[in-house]
Formats: sequence, structure tokens, C-alpha cells
Amino acid sequence: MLAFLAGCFVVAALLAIGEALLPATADCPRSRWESFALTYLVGSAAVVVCGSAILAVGLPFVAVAAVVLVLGLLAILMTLRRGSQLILVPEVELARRPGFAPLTGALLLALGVGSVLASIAMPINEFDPMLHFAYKGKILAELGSPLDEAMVGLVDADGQPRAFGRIITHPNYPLGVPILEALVSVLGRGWHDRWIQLPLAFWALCLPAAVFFGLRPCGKRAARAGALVAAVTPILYERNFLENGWRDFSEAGLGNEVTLGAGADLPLAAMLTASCALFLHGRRAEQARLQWLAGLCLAGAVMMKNEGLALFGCVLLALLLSGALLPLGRAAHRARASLAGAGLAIAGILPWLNLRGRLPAIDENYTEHFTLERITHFLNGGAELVERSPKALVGQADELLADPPARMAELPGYFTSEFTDLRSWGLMWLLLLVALPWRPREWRCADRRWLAMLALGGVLLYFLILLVTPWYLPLLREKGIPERLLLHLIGPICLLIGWRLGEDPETEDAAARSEEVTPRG
Amino acid sequence: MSKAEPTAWKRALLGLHGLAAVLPLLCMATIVVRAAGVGFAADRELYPRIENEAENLAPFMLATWQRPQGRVVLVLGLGDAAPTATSQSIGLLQAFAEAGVQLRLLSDYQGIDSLLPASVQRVNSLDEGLPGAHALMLFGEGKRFRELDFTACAQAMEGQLMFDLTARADGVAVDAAGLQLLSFGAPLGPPWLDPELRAYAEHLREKIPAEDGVLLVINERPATLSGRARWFLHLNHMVFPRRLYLENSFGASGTSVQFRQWVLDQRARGGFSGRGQQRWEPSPRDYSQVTRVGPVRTLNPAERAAIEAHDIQWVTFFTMNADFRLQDWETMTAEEALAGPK
Repeated sequence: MLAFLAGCFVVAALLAIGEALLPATADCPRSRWESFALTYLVGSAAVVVCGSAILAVGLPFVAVAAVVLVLGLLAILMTLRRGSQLILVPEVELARRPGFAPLTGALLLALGVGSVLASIAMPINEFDPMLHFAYKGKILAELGSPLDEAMVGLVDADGQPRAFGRIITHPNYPLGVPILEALVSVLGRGWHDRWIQLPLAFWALCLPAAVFFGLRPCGKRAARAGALVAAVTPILYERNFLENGWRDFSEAGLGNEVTLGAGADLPLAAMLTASCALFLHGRRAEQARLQWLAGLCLAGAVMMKNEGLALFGCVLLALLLSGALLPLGRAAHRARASLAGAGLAIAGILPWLNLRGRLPAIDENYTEHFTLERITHFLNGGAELVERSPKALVGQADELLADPPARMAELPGYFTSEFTDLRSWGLMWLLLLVALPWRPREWRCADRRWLAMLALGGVLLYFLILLVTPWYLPLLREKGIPERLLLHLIGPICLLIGWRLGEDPETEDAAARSEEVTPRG
Repeated sequence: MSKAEPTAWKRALLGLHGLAAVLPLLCMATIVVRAAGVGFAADRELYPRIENEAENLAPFMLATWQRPQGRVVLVLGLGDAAPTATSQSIGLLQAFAEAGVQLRLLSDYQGIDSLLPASVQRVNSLDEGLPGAHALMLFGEGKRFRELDFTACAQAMEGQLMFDLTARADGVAVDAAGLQLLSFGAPLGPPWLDPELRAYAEHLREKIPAEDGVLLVINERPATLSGRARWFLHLNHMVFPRRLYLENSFGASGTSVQFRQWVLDQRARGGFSGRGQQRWEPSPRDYSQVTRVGPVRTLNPAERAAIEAHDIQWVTFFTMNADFRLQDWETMTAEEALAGPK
């Protein structure tokens, strides 16, 4: 019971901290649904970024818990006080409403509530969430430091593997998910395999709402379309369901086909979505504060999963190449706020990078493999690393070793099969194709440019990462790669799609010509 | 182009994409309903059962003995469904009979004699079938053999083997009776739900103070490359914050490919007996009651040094196996392990 209450408190604290950071609803109209999602995502980002920084300077985890407890309580009190005094003028009240048809609203509600219930229906019951994340949560909660021997004891002080060392999987994975779990454990005075998942149960509920908020300045029709596309895309919850027919009903939720739960792919996707949505809304509505918070959420994405760091680079590069960060001309003030957001994001991840450098890396040292020489090698027909296949390791792959296939003969097929996998993605990839800024007047819009660059750049990035992977690619395919990676990009893709599906050609023409939207306030 | 056209195709695409919502709704409803059916717990019974083919299983089962010929096996049931010529149970009985094993069958199924090998002897009760039996082979038959008195079985039998084809036998009770459980049923569920693993983890949590260190020692060359054999990962998680140490844990904790390489490296170093270590068995055993098959051996100099270097108070010996068997695990104080056989 205490663990459940602690879980509820952590969720309330995340919401209240997020609420304290976001502009007031009167200044930045949003529905309760959007408010819930944004406050939860911004609050989570703030907690995991600050939490990682506190740990990086050598303070124990109890300091993180104390900060969250104090700030959470203060923020909850502030929110309650502000909420009781909140009187919105009728125009703002009207602007808040998302305007979904009742049936669509019911569908979104069912998907959102269903995702929360399915996330906590069982205690943690998957390999990755249990061993890669929950174990680190236990270390933080009970031992207090990510530099305890339990985390770093695989190697000696000189970085060489110990003859007899501690047991831990992927010690240098980011600490976002473990921090949220450990908070529940510390405040609940004990580890509970079900309730420590409570703060991790809302990502799928929040992601479509963040898309809605991001597209608000582009019109409610666009916002509704984007949110709906995101909410009904199956991979937000599970993938390949009914691929094996009715048998999948008896195995639902038991394999790694479920995206929900205590893993890190969905939190990363949600954080990236929040970051893109806040950048987009902040830029188009000229609200600098939202752009700073976008930077915070981008740093939060890095705290969730290793791939977050690669996507972090992708976002900054997309913003830079699209010109969104250039403080020139009429959009200078907008770009300056974006630069501030990017700066905040960089500052937010520095403590983690420092900490990460002190943790042993078992694998995924992609910077070592991500070289032009290696990329060229595989693009030019370099052979698959058959010697790393399970069969080759036991001497049962002589034929394969004698004539290994080219990696490029397989990899494009993996991506194509995902783009056409309706069970996992619906029509999302087709819609993305439609939504790309093909016309010159669309390409003139910097926001469309950076979103498109991020969506396509993200896909390209993951293609290249898999191209140079030091592992046996078919084995990764069996484990849900690349779809688990492509899921991270669902936010920017749905923002693009919503924008296209909900656009009003006349308004868009005018907006593209002037590249400005009426500033708020 | 009229303004209505783009709206129409956009609505159509959005509507078609919206149909995909059926899949997650069905999936999530199924997850919640099925979880409710087992009290919202992670339960092995949620997982589907997979029946291994008899011709694949028989060689492994018969390899338990150097010479199967003349061994006596009491077969308990022929499965929940009435057996046919292609049933796993019938296939295994044929293979055992061909290998010269004497089979006694305790089953309620009638009119199936034509399916059975001619040498199968039907018995009417456990009392009739157990004396002289070297092994039990459990296929089950509905509820009939669900609550066997394993201790009584062990006392009446000549051998101590039990082949479980149901993967539902209570491993802790079987081991407590001194029977050596060999589970050839398909594993139900993921490794961390294995009831014997959970029982052993509970035992270690009770036995070992939270701040102590434990050295995990493999008693012989690892026999399997199966990722499922990484029981040390789950044990490490389950007995946290106790400090578990393993030889070259860097490789053992890695990806499945790195783990396989770790196994191969362990194998390449040869058997421990060839490097001066010898097997021994404490009496009584720490947890398992199965004798003569324990994993304990004398420690080598590197292991002795590790105990000193890492402030280790306990040593857990284990045999790597794809199935978690209590008989494969033995924990003692570091002092006892360092002292060796008395």
C-alpha cells in the first residue's frame, strides 16, 4: 500500500513540477488532457535531468529523493492554490477545448486508459526492463550511487575487466527510468515490482496529447489529426499483434512485443515528442519559455535510452540545417529562443555525459564503429558478421561462413518490411510520405523543414547505425530491431502528418509567405 | 482542383489509419483480462505450452544413463489427452523400449494397448510399480498425478531419477524428497518465473546477510550455450543487495553473443578436474536433498584470491544448465569452501 501511495505521490510531484515550469493556462491555452501530458512530460524531464546531475556531482540518491519530495510538495501546494484561483476568460476557455467528436474522444480515452492499465496490470515481467533498468533502480534506491561497485565492479580501476567481477547488464545505460523507479522505492520505503512502474505508465497516454499541443498554433484541425494519428498507431502500445493469428491472444503482453511497461523505448519517444511539440508551439506562438522547456525535454530524452544521445544530435542538426537557429531577419527572436532551448539541452546532458564516462561500457560503443570507412565498407557490399551468429559460435555455420551475405542485401529489406507493416504502424509511413514538405512554399517554412529533416534524418541515422553494428544483424532483427528504434521518431512524424492532414491551404499559403503567426500576449 | 478534394482524401487516409486502433485495443484488453485471471501476477500459467517432439527428446533422456538397457522406469500417465500413435508419450515409450528400458505403466486409459510397445507392463498402483524402479517418467493424466507423495516414491524406488514431461512438477518438493528432477517439458514462461529459481533465491535471501559478498563458482565446463542458462543474472537481481561475483563477469553479463563467447572461453580452458580441483559434497547439503550429483569442488588459487580481495563471505557452486535444478546449486561459507572436504 505504501509503495502504491509513493507511486501516486511521484506521479503527482511530476505533474506539479511540470505545472510550475509551464506557462499558465491563461497565457498558453491548453486542454486538461494536454495539460496533464505536458506537465507530466516536462516534470519527468526536469526530475531525470536534475536527478542525473545531482548523482553526477557525487551526491547520494537520497538527495534526489529529498529534492523531489520538497519541490514536489511545494509544487503540489502551488498547483492546488493556483487551480482554486483559476478563472479563465470565455475566449481562453473556448480555445482550450480540443474539439474532438465524441466518438473520437472516446477512442482516445479508451486507448489512453487502456495503456495505463495494461502498463501496470502485471509486475515487471520482461528481461530488459528488469535487468537493464529496474536493477539499476535498486542500486540507486538502496546503495545510493551509480558509481557503487554494483555498477562499476565489472572492471578494475584501470578499466580492464576484472578476473572476478560484479554482475550487471549494460552499466552505462542512462538513468532516467531507474531514477523514476527508485523514487517510488525510496519514498515507499521498499521495492515493489508493480508500483515502481506507476510513473512509467503514462507515456502512451501523453504522447498524442503532446502532439496536439505542438500543432495548436497550426490550427485545431491539424492538432486533432496529428494526435489521432499518433494515438491509433499500434506500435505505441504493441507491435505485430495477431501476426500469428488467434494464438497471439494467448500470448498478449508476455513477450517483448509490448511497447508499454517499464522499458525505455516509449519514454524516449515521449520525451522526443514533447521536445518537438514544445519547440514547434514555442516557435510558432513565440513563447520563449516553451522553447526552453523543449530543450529540457530533449535532455530528458537523452536520460531515457542510449539512442537518445544520437537523436539529440539529430534534433540539433535538423534545427541548425533548417535555419531555425539562425538569429537573422524577422524570425530572429524566435531563433534566439530556440538557441536558448538548445543551449539548455546541451547543459542538461553534460552532467550525465560526465557520469557516463565513468561507467563501464559492455557494448553499444557506436562512436567507435560509426566511421566513414566502416559505413563505406558495408555500403559497398561488406559481408554480414556471420562469425558473430549463434550458429557460427558453435561451429554450425560453415556454409554461411564460406559465403556470407552482404549486409546491404538484408538491411534495406528490414526497413521496407517495417514501412509496410500495417499491423504495427497502420498507414503512418504512407502518411509521412504525403506529409513531407514537397512543395516549395512548404519547404520555405523552417518548422516544416526541421521536422522533416528530423524524421528522415532519424530514419537514416538508425539505418547507418544498423549498417555498422558490430553484432549479427539477423539476431537484432529477431529482437525487434529496427522497429523499436523507429518508434522513437513517432512524435516528429505525427507532427508533420497532422500539419499536412489538418492544413487549410489558404492559411498555409499566407503563413508560408509571411512565416509569422500572430504573437500571443 | 476544388477545396473539398484534399479534405476527402485526407479524411479517407486518416479513417483507414484509424482502423489500426482495433489492434492495440484488443491487445490491451486481452492483457488486462488475462492478468486479472491470475490475480494480476506474473504467472507461468499465462504462458502457452509447447510440446517437444519425442524423437528430439528421447536421445537426451536416454543419455542420462551410460547404459539404459535393463533400467526400470515407472511411467505415470500418458498425458491429459487420450494418446494416439503420434503422441509424445507413445513416441517416448517406443524409444525407451527400443533402448532396452523396462517400462511399467500406470494409466487409466483403456483400449490403447495396440499403441504401446509390447514390452510395456501395466501396473495398477504406485505400490506395485515403484519397487525396483530406477526412474519415474511423469506425463500426467488430468489431476491424477498432480499431488504425488514424492518422499514415499523416493523411499520405495531403487533409483533417484524423475523425468518430468509436464514441466509442472513441484521441483522444490521433488528435490526435498531426494529425487533428481530432469525436466524435459518445454519451459513454461521466462526464466525469472522458474519456481525453483525463486525458491533458491528466497533461500539465499534468508541465509545470507544483505551486506555480504558471494562468489559464484562454476563446478565444471559449461555444457550449454543457451541464454536461458544465465541464471546468475536473475539470481543477482533477486538477492540484491548481496554482492555476487563471477569469473569474467564482463563477458558473462554482456549480450547473448558475448555470453556465448564467455561460455566458449570457459570451455576452452578445459575441465577443472584437470587443473587440480576435485569434486566433493558436503553432508548434509545446504538446500537440495539430492545426493551424489552436487556441484561443489575445491577452489583454485585465483578463486581463493578473489575471496580475499573482494571481502567475500559465501561461495555458491553451480552447474550451468538450461533448466534451473536445485541439485545444481550449493551455497556454503567461504571458510568451508576454502577448507574443502573434511
